[in-house]
Amino acid sequence: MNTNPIDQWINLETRRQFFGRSSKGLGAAALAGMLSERANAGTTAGHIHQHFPARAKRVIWLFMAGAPSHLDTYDYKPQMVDWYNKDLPESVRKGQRLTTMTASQARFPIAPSMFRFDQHGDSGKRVSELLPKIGSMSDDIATLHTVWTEAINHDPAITFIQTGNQVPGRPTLGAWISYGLGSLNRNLPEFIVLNCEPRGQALYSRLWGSGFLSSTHAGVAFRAQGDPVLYLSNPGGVTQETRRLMLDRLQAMNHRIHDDLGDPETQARIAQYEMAFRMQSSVPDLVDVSGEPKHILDMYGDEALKPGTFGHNCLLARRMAERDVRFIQIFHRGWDHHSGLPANIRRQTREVDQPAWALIQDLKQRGLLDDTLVIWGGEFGRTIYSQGTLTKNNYGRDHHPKCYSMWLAGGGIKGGVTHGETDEFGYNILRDPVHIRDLNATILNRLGINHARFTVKHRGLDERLTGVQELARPVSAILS
Amino acid sequence: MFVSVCTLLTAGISLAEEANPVERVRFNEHIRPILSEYCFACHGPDSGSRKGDLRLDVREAAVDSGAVVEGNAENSQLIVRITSDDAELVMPPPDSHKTLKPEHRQLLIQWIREGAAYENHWSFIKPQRPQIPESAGHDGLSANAIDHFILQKLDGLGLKPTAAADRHVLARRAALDVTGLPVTPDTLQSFIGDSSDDAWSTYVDRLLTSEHAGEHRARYWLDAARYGDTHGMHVDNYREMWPYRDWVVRAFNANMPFDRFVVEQLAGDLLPEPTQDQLIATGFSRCNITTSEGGAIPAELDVRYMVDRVETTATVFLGLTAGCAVCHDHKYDPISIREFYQLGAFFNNTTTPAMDGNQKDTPPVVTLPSEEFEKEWNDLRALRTQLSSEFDALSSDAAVWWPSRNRDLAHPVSTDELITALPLTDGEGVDVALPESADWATEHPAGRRGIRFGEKGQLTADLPGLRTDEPLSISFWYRTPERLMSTTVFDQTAKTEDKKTIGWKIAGNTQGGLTFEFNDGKGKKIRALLPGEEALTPRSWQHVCVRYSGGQSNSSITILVNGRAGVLRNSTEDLMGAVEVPAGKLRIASRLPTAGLSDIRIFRRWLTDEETRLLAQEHGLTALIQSDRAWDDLDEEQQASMTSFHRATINSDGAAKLRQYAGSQRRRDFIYSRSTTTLVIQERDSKPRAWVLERGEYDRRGEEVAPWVPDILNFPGTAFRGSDVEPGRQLTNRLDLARWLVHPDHPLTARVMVNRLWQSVFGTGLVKTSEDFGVMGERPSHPELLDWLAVEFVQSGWNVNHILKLILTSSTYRQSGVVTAEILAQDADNRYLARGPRIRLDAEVLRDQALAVSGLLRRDMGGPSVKPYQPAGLWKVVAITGSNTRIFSRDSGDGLYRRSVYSFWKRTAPPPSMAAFNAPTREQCTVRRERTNTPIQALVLMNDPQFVESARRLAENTIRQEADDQSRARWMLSAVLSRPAEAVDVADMIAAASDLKTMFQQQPEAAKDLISTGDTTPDETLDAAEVAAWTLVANTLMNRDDFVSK
Repeated sequence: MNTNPIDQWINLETRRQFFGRSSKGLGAAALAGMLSERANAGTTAGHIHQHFPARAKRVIWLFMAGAPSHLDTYDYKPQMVDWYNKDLPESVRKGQRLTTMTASQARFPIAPSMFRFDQHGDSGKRVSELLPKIGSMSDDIATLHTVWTEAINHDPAITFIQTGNQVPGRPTLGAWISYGLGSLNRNLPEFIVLNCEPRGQALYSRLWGSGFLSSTHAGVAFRAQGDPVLYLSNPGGVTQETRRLMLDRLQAMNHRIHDDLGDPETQARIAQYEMAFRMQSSVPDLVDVSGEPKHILDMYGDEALKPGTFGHNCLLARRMAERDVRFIQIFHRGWDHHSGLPANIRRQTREVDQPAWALIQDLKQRGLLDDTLVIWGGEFGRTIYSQGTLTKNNYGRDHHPKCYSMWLAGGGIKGGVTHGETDEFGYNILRDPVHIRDLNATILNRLGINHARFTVKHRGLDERLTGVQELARPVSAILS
Repeated sequence: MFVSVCTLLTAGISLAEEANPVERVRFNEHIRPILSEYCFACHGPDSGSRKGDLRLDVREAAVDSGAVVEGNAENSQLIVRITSDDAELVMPPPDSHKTLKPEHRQLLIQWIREGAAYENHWSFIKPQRPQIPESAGHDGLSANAIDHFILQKLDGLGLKPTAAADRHVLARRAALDVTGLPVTPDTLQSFIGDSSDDAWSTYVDRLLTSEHAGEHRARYWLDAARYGDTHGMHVDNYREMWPYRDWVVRAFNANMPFDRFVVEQLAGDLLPEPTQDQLIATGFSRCNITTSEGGAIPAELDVRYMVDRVETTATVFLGLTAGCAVCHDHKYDPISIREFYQLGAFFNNTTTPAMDGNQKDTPPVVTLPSEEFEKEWNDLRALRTQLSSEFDALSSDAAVWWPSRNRDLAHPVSTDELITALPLTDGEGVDVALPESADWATEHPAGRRGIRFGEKGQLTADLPGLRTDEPLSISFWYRTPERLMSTTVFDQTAKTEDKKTIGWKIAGNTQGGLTFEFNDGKGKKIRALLPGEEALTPRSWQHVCVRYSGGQSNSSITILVNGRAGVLRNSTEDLMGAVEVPAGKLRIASRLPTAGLSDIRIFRRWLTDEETRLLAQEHGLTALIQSDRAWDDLDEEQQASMTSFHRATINSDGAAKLRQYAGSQRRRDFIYSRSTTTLVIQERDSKPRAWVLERGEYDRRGEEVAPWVPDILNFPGTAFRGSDVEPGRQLTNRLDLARWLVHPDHPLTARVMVNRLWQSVFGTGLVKTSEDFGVMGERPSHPELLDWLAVEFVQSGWNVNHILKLILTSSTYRQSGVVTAEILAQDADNRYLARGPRIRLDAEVLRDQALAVSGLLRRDMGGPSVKPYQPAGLWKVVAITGSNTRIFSRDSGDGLYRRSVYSFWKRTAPPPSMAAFNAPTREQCTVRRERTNTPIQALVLMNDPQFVESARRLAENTIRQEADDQSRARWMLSAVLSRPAEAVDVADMIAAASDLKTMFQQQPEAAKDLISTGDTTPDETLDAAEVAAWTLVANTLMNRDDFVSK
């Protein structure tokens, strides 16, 4: 006899008359998913048909919250050495608005990056010595040097890049994708967020919120402490077997209620309780890395086993990708280096470099990189001039929205490509600007979605992730 | 007929089906939805995006352009273009990805043939009380007018109403709808036992007059008002606002007429002699999210807040999506960008600062002292008001004094309690030796005064002792350094025996600001930060006065620059003890390169604003006094400054009043910092105005506009007349807006509110899009009923409970919620109400219900927000270092069991068990919650400690109450569902309890674990296995669909 309570239940349920009436909404979808578990992946459908064939099925976004300096990581500006402690020419700054943090500085002395930029691979891409591992896979990566935004402070900027609008209230990229494409795995959420150790600038639950879309599309923030998903564990003293017994009684009662009242919502609720029960197994299974072999753990670095670290989260991201979670976003915090940048960015990059590299390598060796889009970057860039103290080995950088660097790799992305060029100060864009809306359009494009046609009617407007005005363009130069 | 109704429901717009040609085309019903969906984006009200200079939303324009030729479809360009085969000509153009359906074209053709009549949008037309329809064949079914309208529609659809629900079910439903709590056993029994004809009416009255009804009604309002307990952005610190929440609860409990409710919230401060409550009510417009993020630009924030206030006001009262007009004319509704900013002007003239200072009491606030201090506070306020006005009224005899003045002015203010004066001036009896690398300053406004510091240097001077509960004022000239760094400017600090700091210091920081800090030597300190970017001019001399009143709190500190008080950042109200600070050294500038200092004066008293201004103007005053000029030779400004000097310093009466005023400051600050505050709105004296912002960008100001309302709503009968309505008042302001909103003839306000009341009971409004009554909103399912209720609402004196009672006493409401196949097929969403409302309960009701049925619920009302159970770490994982809402420390005891309306709402991480059930984040106005059905909800109800603890308490109560399993099962089910148990459920429960008990007897540790969930201790007199078993039975009941639903 099969003693697995899940299987027992499913065998029993499929014999029951579930489709006596048509249910509606999510309930029906979940119900359909449940019954077809063994037949197919039992997924929920999205709200749109893809506009063209997808090159990626899922996305992993490594979000560097606080805004890393592009000048110390990817955007190589060797001429700046000669400009040390000289004032940024007004012809470069062009009276551009500054944050009120440095607006009152007497001078805008240039702080050249103190880090060496090494060349890597066939592409010869120069990447800062801070990121040797990521640099070593330059031939797999497309680097954007000319990402830009309008927002100049963290809260509006991170809200902007996540939702396409600086003002809170819009759905995030992950929610749009969940809404549009549905799920590939019926036992796990479509959109999962992994937060790293709290440090520096704030995050907000709106950054994985669903805005005006149904909250079923909101990201589920997995936790490093306690239950990975809130309220997942049974109370003390209640085993999964006991829960099954309780659920059997409950479902019997709910079936009777449905028999009496005929409300389809009751049926949907019955199905959701089963889904919850399945999650109680599937989620612990997902986050249990004890079965990972040593050589894999070693790839992800010293902290691979430590929940809440970037290394551990990258490993979890891979496990989620394997399980076809649609959109995974890791928030790594602490990149807001107004002062003491060299020391701080060393720590940040040390945490990020190896695990990000490992994630790409691991996806690649499993054949998952071909249809997984991986993105690395933050909410804006940083200024070439120093904020606060400037010495050769110590400086700070203020917020800089006019250009910054990000990279993409994997599903449908051309490797070894560098797109866009900034001026010698890394201050203005010389060619090929990529607005963060263009970036979002690019991501949607790889998922088979034409951003311009991906609309949701809200308060009378056809809302888009990329804004109601059709300004965004995917960055075709980096698409393979 | 019915098919078209279905289309209306699913598509949100009403389009007749092809198979069902309409008899006569109506513009609002048939044509406007088509034009809105397919045409208005380019040919609508928005002049900015209009193509081909054609607009179709105004008949005259459509006819003039030839798009519409009355009666002649073939010659109407509109028809020519929509029927064209030519890709270049056809409308809508292919790149819009929109295609008209054949039936749309049919309707447009028919409409033009029938004369192309336009109608104003339905919701912009004043509602008239419609005739109540006859509902023949339903004798005795109609309890009131509502039923006639509902039955008429059901008849039309061929649907039959459902019989009334069981009395127990009904009693539970109504209690949840009115009070948000299950019915108490007493109330239930009195209703069940009441066989009179008006038993139901009596019962509903009893619910409506319960004080819990106001709590429940307030909860909906707080969603709309976007009320929260934190600022909502960036640092997301605590914001003290709960007195506003309690005001809303009280207002609903008093059944305050809704017109008054609106006026007091939008403009309570502008009412004649407003009461404290009327001021608290204005918190409505202070609930918006705010920030103090370093680097943020105040002008940009001001615009953002204004936009939020307009959007909220428009959504909550007008049911319109004004936000679309921030950047351009509204694409669908006739609200232009200019009109948007005219609305904005109403809210653009307040004293609210752009930066919230990350503090709980961003001014202006109303102060609510505890009982202990209330009298003293009121006395102080009266005294201070009196002193101020007496001082202002002092007749000026400066002109008389002038000829006899003493020209040898050492200090522009009284030297009372002056404990140190260091001019730090070259040649003026050099009182200090210049430290190494420092130099005399040259660019000081008063010449060769002050010291410019180099890399090194420290000066010291002797200072007498002082007390932390006594006032202290420090006046000095400060030149902000070129290189910004964290550094002490000067201080008087020492270490106590146990190495704690005692004394005060003034420090600069890398952002160019100044901080004043006072340590009491016992580990407590108070602190105030003046952000540099807002108050201090970089690289120049300015007069700074740091004042500390002795109130032992952060808010006892003020910092004035050039005589003007700066907005400080005191994120938390810290308090310190009253101690003696020993005499010691004043240490100046141990490290202050490139900065400058002069004229340090330290007073052991609180300098008034007047005195501070005089100190800031000292050099001008001195020059003037020493001059030989006659009074009449002084210009107006000079005379004014001399008058002010004379009044504050020379005139003994004036000086005495100032001293008395200053003397009251310590107690004022002491009490203030120990009182509750709540954010309010205060109008400035200036003229309300706003600027039309190009594309909504804060720095692209166009035309200046005055407050006014949109033309489309400026209808005859209630023509907006601004300040004209009140004799003697010059400026149009928020009060005019508020009064206009509640004008009896206003087409929207009453409709929008009754619709929300309906929505709160039936789950969906008569207008489903309760946030949008505009062109793109859904048309009402029962237009006549909506209008009837709106008129009834106004004529009843805007009586909220009257409308609620009408709804609850209708037969429509009392129907059973049973869903037949027929109803499901025809009206799955129950928009036509052939059955009673049966919907999942809201987050707060679910939690409160669990607490109530288990007896855990604390029914106390009001007060500071509480922090019930939530999983650890949720705040920390998102918060910025330094946020005072970074660490969640849950309450213990009563705070865990209060109603959810009192739960602390951190807006960047709201309570997770509430969010799981679609509670909004309260970051913006929400008038309609979504209602999902998800596995996460199942996990919350099964596993959240507050639900498990409730189940255990219920189990204990059950076991204590009844002796045998049969009675226990019956008792428990009745407690949970407010109705007698059915045999089959009882049998199930008994079997479950018995199985579980056996199991837990074998696993005593497991039993103990389960019943230890929660803060309350399990009843040790009961058998643990028994309690554990019944806990799971209770947990089962509390997950039943009929517990989760009403």
